[in-house]
Amino acid sequence: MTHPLEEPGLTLRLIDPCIVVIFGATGDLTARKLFPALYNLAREGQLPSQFACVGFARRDKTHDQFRAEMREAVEKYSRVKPIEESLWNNFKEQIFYHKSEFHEEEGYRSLNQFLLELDSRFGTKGNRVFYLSTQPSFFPTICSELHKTGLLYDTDKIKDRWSRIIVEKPFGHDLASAQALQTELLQFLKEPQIFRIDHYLGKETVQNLLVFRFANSIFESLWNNRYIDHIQITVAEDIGIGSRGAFWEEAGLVRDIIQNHMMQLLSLVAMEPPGSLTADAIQDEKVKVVRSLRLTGAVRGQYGPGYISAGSVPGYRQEKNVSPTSNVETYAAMRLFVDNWRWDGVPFYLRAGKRLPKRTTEIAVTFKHPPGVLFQERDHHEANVLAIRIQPDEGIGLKINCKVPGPYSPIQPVKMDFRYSSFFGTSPPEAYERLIIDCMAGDTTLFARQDEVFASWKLLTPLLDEWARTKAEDFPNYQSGTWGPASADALLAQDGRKWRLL
Amino acid sequence: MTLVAPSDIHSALSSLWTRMEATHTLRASLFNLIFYAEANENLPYVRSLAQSIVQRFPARILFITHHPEKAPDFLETRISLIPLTDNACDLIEIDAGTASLQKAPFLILAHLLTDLPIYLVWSTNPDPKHPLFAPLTTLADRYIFDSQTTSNLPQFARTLLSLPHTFTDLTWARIEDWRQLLTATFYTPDRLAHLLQADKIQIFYSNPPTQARYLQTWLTSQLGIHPTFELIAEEATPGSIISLEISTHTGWHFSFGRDPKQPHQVSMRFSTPESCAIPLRYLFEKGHSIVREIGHTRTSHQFLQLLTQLSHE
Repeated sequence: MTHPLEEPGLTLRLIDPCIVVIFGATGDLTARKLFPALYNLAREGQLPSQFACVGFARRDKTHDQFRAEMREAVEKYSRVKPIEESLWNNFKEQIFYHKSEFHEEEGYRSLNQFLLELDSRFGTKGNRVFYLSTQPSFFPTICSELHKTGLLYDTDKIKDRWSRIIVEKPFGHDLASAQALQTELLQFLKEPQIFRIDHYLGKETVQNLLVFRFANSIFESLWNNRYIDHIQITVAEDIGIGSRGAFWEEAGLVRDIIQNHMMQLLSLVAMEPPGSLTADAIQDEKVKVVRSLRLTGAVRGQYGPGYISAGSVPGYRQEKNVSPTSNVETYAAMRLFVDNWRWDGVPFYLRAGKRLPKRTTEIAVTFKHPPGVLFQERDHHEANVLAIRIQPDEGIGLKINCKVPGPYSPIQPVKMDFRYSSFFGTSPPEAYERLIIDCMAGDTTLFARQDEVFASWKLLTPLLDEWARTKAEDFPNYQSGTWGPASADALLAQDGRKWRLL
Repeated sequence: MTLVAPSDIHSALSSLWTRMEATHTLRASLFNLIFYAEANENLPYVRSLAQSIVQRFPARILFITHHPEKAPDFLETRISLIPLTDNACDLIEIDAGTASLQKAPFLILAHLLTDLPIYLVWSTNPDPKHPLFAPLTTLADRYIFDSQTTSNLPQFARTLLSLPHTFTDLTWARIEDWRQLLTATFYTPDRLAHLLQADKIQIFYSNPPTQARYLQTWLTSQLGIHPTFELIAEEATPGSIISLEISTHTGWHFSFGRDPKQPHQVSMRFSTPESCAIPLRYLFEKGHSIVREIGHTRTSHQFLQLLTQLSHE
């Protein structure tokens, strides 16, 4: 029943007082993303007034040292600069540091004690978000220790306060390990307490996919195999693997990008309209898409030396902590079909890679050609393309054909362009801002549910196993600064298509 | 013209456009237009060509200039905006020494405007062994060459014919006005019959003779006639066709000549053994043909026939 004071149609967000505990608080993610996100939430007045944040890590550090480091991080990485002194001075009083090893029971007991003190000081009422910004191998240990010390509440018994965990990707490294991890976590938690973060889902442009598709009848009515020729999804980065050599040698591109981010993008593009906007209704439709996927072709690549911004860059095998004979992919492209009524026969082409010419993420929907009765004699005109730019330069572009002004003039493709920055001005919130606040509010819509994760691993694990078994003899097979290996072009050429030049 | 580090091209252009917001100037681009040029006496012409194209069709220009005279590792990148009537477009310049030239395609790849066609103007002799030739022609939807830069037309023709048929040639576009004039003049069957009986055709041109040879080859390849051709050099705007005289076996004479003061105007005089018609005037379009030719995606069938004939010479 609606609250008598709640205005229908006006989304009301009720965020309980709480404490956020960040495990791995001295790590890169905390500095680059989590604290800038918390600061911006505070700046925009979105954090609950009764709030505190505790960094949990192994290094020796005082509260003040930790605050100083986080200030430096916010100054460097916040989307809004410069830092507001008066705001920071208040905000920093809510930041604390707790030193402990992840496996030390005593460290968790003292944490519990400290959090209770903060509850009485800040009025945070025992509510907890535990952000596990650590290697996945620590997830079960941390959850076990939290459980032992009573920091994870049994939701069947405790109703007046809550505890939730946020886990970073990767959730497992294949289907079996993801299922094993889930089984372990469920010893200490219930599924609604687990928030599997995929920061792509926190991006405004990704959230807008649902609005774009289901609030605009002109697009949704064309969104099927009758009008759409194919869909390309690209996640390109111009950077290499940097200092993440050891991680990358274990993971590779499919685990890092495709299994999570790209599957989320694909499912949002291909899903049926949900019955409502509840988390379960949306996730139910998304998981149906992933379960309907059929992989019909895949190629892998690894970057060699080349040029980025006219500067020479090393190949993957020359990077730090990488084997000189590494078989790990830094590029992958694949062709998938969604075996359902709507998408029968429409290929979805996915490609992602490191050291490509530019950083860009987009979904491009290519429509079928109109009947070739008119305008074919002198000018071969191009298919309409709807390009949804996820990052950077967030927006939506539509390529249409147009007559060039003047007599006897040709047909020329032109672009209608919607840019977020032009219409909405300020830079959109960072994905982590939205996701942290959603977790505090208990809203799982923008988090990956276990069945989605399993379905994605189920699809990709056979491919990963095959690639692990077979040596890629042609590695490195693309130059840094180019759009990937020739075999990726051949994958589309088999179908008479080409990758978009972005 | 702002000198920027290659890694700052995108951000510097964004800043430039942010500063332009107050002037309400629109950022316009119909296509990506890549130029490759050598730093020689032809460079000012190529630059003026770029200007004339964007004045009609705004485009993002990516202009690569090879400087063989500079240090091999020389590389400079510059950005600027080309102001147009109500809008402006981007100009990204890449100046490279011989060794740095290999970096240019990587820079180009990072700065193409998505979803817009990519046209390549290769302003020097097309040489498949040139380090940029394959990377840039692979990238482009359409290549535009300039046969006036070659001294070996048959070889030029053979090179073009080996490429996918999405190219054109500036010289082919430059003679479009003459082609249209002759087509219109000899459009009726009786007039065409006279042209088919031509026994002497004189083409007066100023050096280089490329346009004159194109017109000659076009006429022979389309009509299958082999009159005596005389190509006569005169002083005028370099490369252009100045006038044309056609005499037939039947004593008809057709004379077409540009007005020296207004070269886009052509006076036409026709005479028979019995009579002389009142002179007529025909107006050439002012530079539109080049721009129009660039916009087409397929190579003209007539141009392919012309190249085929040239390639056998």
